[in-house]
Amino acid sequence: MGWTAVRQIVISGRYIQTYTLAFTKPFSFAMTITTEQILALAPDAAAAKAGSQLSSATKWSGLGSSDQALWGLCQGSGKDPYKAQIDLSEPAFKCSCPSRKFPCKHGLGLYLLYAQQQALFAPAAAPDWVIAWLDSRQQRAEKVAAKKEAVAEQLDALSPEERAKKEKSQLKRQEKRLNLVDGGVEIIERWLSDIAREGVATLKSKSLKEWDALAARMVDSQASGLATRIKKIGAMLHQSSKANWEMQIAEELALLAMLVHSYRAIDTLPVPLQADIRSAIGWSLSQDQVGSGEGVSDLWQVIGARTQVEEKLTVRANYIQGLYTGRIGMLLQFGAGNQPLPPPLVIGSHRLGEVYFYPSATPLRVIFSAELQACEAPIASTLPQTGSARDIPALLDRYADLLAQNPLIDEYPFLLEEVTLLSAAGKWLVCPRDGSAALRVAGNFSNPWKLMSLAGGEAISLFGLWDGERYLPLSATVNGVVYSLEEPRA
Amino acid sequence: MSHEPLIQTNPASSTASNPLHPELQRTVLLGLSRAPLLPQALALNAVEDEAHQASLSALPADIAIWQTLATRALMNRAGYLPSPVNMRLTPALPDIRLPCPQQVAHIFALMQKDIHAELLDEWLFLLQRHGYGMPHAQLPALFELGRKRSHLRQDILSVADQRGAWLLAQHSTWGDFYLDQQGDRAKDWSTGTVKKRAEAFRVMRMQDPAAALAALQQEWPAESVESRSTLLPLLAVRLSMADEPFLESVLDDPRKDIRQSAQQLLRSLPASRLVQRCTAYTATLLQLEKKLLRGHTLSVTMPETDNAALLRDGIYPERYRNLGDKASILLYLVATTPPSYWLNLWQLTPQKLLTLFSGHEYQAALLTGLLQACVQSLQHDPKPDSAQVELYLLLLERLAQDMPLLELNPRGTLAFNTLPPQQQAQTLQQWLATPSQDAAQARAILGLCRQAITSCRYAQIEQWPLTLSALVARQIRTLMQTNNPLWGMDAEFSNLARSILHAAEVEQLHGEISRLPAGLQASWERALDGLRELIHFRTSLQQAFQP
Repeated sequence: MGWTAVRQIVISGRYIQTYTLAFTKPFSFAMTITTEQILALAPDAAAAKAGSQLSSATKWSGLGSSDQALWGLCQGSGKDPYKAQIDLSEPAFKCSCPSRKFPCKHGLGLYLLYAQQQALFAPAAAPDWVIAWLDSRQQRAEKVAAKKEAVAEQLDALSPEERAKKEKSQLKRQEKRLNLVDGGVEIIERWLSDIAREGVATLKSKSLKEWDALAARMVDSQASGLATRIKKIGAMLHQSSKANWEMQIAEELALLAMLVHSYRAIDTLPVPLQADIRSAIGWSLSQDQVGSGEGVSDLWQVIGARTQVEEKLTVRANYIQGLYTGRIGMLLQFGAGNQPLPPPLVIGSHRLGEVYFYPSATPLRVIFSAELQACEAPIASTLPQTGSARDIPALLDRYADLLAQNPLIDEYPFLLEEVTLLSAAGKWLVCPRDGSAALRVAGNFSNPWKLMSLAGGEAISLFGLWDGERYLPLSATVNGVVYSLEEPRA
Repeated sequence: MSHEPLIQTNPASSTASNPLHPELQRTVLLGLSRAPLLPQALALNAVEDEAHQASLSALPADIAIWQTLATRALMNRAGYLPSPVNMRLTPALPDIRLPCPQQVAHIFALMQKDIHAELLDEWLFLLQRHGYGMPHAQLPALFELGRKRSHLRQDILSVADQRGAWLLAQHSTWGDFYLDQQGDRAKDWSTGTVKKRAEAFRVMRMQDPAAALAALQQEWPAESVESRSTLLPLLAVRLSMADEPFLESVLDDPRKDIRQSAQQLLRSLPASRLVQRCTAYTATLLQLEKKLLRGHTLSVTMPETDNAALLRDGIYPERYRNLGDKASILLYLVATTPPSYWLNLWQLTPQKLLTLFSGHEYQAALLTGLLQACVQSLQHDPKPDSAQVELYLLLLERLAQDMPLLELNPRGTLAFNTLPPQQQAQTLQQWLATPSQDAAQARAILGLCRQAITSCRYAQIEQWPLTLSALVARQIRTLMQTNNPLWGMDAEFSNLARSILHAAEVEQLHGEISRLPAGLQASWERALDGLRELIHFRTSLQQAFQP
């Protein structure tokens, strides 16, 4: 999508002229990136350090830049220098070194050097290897689009008999899965019934292996969502040393019972909620299925991120907010096993275009459209004031509403304005300056002093997750700058 | 599309105000087989919802029990009642210093990731000089760094500005470190872990040394060995003669490490009985004799090796490499005697005293002892007399020329930072100007410089002349001719590059690599690349402060 096309993106049926006026330069995302933001892209501290050691002009030759990309040659231990290049639109990295880290130290070093000494990157015609890579990226994107189109055309071209046959085979597959899931749900129901009869107090006598075995049966039943919940409860049970562990476990089991009970009655429930229940049981939607829905166009700002490690899977939730619609979305990134996470979205950065929300009674998770483009920050005064819940009473009302619409939600993202952080009796609290209503801060919040320092006792804007009991701050906005409050990765 | 809410939310309910019905809790814990579900246990909250209760009662008990718990959990989450807080924070005053430019903050962000964190003192110095304040987001990281690197604390305080001062007032541990605030010391001291008690004791010493000593003396008989060995060295904080009687009594402690702590502390008190005993005994060993035509000569009687009083004072034999038992004891005795004692007793100039000691067959023990005594004295005397400083300078000069003496004195430069910058530069110049005969000597001289620099703050380093850089390069060149860079030299080079070695010299050395024997080229290229990188970072750091 070109510059002109971006200008013509329609939001809520109108051109976002105010926004286009605020641009000074198209697509120069990299112009404003800071060292901290680049280092946040590093897969680990060692890569960050190695990258920074390569951020010296003496290490590089053949430096150059275009509107779209940066490139350079870095002499390593081999005969030929490594070819490092960065597509600034995402940013995306490529390097000819054999490192399995992504981005590698050369990519990071190149980007850091650019952030510090842009003058070294004279505008130039991209060398062949850069053009080849950019072309291959472009072609890949086009191929994906073409494939989608071909599938759609193929479907259209089917004769009524072929279509009926295809649908029949799909139905058969679905039925098979439904039977498997039903079997799994039945097992869980019996198991919950046994616990109700025997009492939660007896659960500690079950080994963790028994919980894992039950979770494995749920995986076999193609109910991975149930498997994850069972593993989580098993782990909670065996790790908990709290006095009242029985009631905490009982509550988790009750919510699991609610899920299977809802699944049994799924046809009687509102359609959007059905999607949440299916997702919680373990059905997943393909990106095509999500992308076939109605997109939401906006100028999106990355407002926070949270990375969690679940067994062998690392999941990073990147939160974005539409500056016009006020909607908050969550883009998930995954790193399985030793595979690193993809580079995170830069906190505070902007993207213009469409995202697609997963169907839900309380839509949150999104995928990005292929056309979504990184862009510069708009001038704050050109932005509309979006009116979502931004004080504590409004947050609580909104959360209650959301829970009423979708009892399966746990934590949900909220912006809070004009709040400050306090420490009382060893507990952290978020409250307005007048102290009229305080939320407890989650115990796993690791950066309270950074937040205290940013706020200095004044009211600021916070973004974080509320789970009905605790607020976990993920970022703070002070003087228009968004500061991540997530602990950097070791 | 809107739907009827699936659950009725009740804002009045909260976890605290909506305790679980005891009967329900009993059934949940014991199970339906042992504690059947009673209808009243299904009540959700104080405000009875009869319809809801009736619908639950109609369900099988093993379903109703979970449904009740789930509904209650959701109601509690949906109906969270925030409590008002009576506490109000006084906001921080507006900062006085200039806002830190982004490129300057970037450099700190890199150092925070342990990328050339050794340059932090220079960064802080420049931040202070340019009138910039610390970026608010990075203040906590900076305060944490200062906890581990005490020599930075003063510089950190000077750039923390109003926001930093405000933050320190909120954070009791940082407050203790930086402002010596009074936290809940009494509680920590009475009931804390050894670590907490040590921290409490350190602060108590800072605030009221006499009261802290009294507290320690009171608890001492009941203290564990671990506590004793942790707490006793903390008497070094504001140590004075008031501590001497207690320390003297600790010399009889059954634990060697505790006795050694006491001995160490007493040695730094020139008026202590330990120092006086040692001085008196040493005076009987060293005699100045006047010889016809030969001026003064030194007569040394070697000390006894089985003197119980000496053992009590920590004078143990066989501690020094290449020195015999008696020579080692002699060294300790001289090290414990204040150098001013000899200058005053014999009415000698520092140069003459040095000549006297140097000419003796036990010169290694005598000079090492004298150097240690000088270090001890300068470290504990904020206003040393000029004769002591002169003696120390002479001894430092001697170190670079006397390799055996240098080997015996790895800590001889510990008082280097107490010298005025001009004298520091002069000493470095003398060391570096000494032509090295071989790689070993060049390395020793560079090592000596590194040790000396390590203790200096950037404010001192900054006053040294640029000419030192060429002298350092000359010593490195001597090394390059004969050797691969030895293990551990990277650290030595880094320390020199962070202070006195400049880019031009490094580039020149780099250009000379091709002239080295082939076997040496690769390793020197790696070593000098590391130096170049550090110097490049240092240049970026300095450029970041340019307007």
